[in-house]
Amino acid sequence: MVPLFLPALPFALLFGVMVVESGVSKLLGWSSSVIMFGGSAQMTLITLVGEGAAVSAAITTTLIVTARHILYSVTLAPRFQVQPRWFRWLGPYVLIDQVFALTQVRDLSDDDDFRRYYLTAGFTFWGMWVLFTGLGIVLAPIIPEGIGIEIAITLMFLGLLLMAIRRRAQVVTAALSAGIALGFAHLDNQLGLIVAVVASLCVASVTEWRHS
Amino acid sequence: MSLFWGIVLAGLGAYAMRASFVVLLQGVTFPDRVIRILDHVGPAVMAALVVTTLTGPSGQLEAGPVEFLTLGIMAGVTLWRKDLLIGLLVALAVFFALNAVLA
Repeated sequence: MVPLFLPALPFALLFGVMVVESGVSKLLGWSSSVIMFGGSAQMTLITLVGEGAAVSAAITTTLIVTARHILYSVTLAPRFQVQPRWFRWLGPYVLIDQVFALTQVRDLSDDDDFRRYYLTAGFTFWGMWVLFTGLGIVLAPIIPEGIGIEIAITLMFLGLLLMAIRRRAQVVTAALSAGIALGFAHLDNQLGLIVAVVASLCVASVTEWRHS
Repeated sequence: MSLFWGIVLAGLGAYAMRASFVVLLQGVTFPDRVIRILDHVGPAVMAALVVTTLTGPSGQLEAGPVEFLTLGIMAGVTLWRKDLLIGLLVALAVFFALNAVLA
C-alpha cells in the first residue's frame, strides 16, 4: 500500500511549500491535513487565504472542489450498508480520490475483505499525507519549486482508470468525460472536472437505463 | 472568521459530502440498474482527473511529448501486466531516463 502513495508524495511536499509561501501559520496549515484530509481542497483553501481572500469565500470554493466526493459516497453506499455502524461513520473520513479508486479496482466481493482493505488503504494514505505535508513545511526552504515528477499523480489516475474498467460502456464514459474535461479545463475551481463527470454520467445513465 | 474555523468548516463540509449517502442510504435496496450506472463513476472521475492534472489554469495542456510517451507506457504496461505498481515503476523509470537523456 505504501508504494501506491508515492505519486502523491510530491504533492504532499508541495503543499508544505505552499503553506510556508502563503504566510499562514505553519501549524494551522498543517492541521488542515488532519482536519480536512484532501490535497486539492487544502491547496485551494490555503492558497486563497494566502492571497488575501475572505475565509468564507475560500471555504465556498474549497467545497466546490470537494463536491465530487458526494459521488464516491453514492457509489460506495451499497458496500457500506452491510458494514458495522462504526465503519460507516469512520470510513468516509478517509474517502479521497485514490482510496475510492482502489475500491473500484480490486475485487473485494467479501464484505470483511472490503472493510479491511478500505481501512488499510485509507489510513496508510492518511498517515503518509500527514507525515509528508509536515515534512514539506519543515523542508520548504530547500525544496525546489518544480519537483519535476508532478506527472506521477497523472500516471496514478491513468492506471487506476485502466484497472477500473471492466465493460466497453465504461470506456465510452471515460472517453466522454476526458473530452468534456479538456473542453472545460479553463473553468475556475476545477469546475470543468465536475461538468465532465456529471455530463458523462448522465449519458451513461440513459444508455444503461435503455439497455436494462 | 479565523482560518482555524475555516479549516474546521471545510473539514466538516468534506466529511459531510463523503459521509452523505453512505450514512443516509442505510437500509435502501439498490436496483441492479442503479448499480450498473454507479459502475461508471470511477471511470468518469478518473478520466477527468487525468485531464485536469495535465492542464494549466487557463485550460492549456501542460504536457509535452515526454509526458505523453510516459502516459502511453503507463497505459501499455498496466494493461499488459494488470498491475498498477509495475506500470507506475516502469513509466517513472522511462520518464527519468528520457529526461536525463534529453537534458
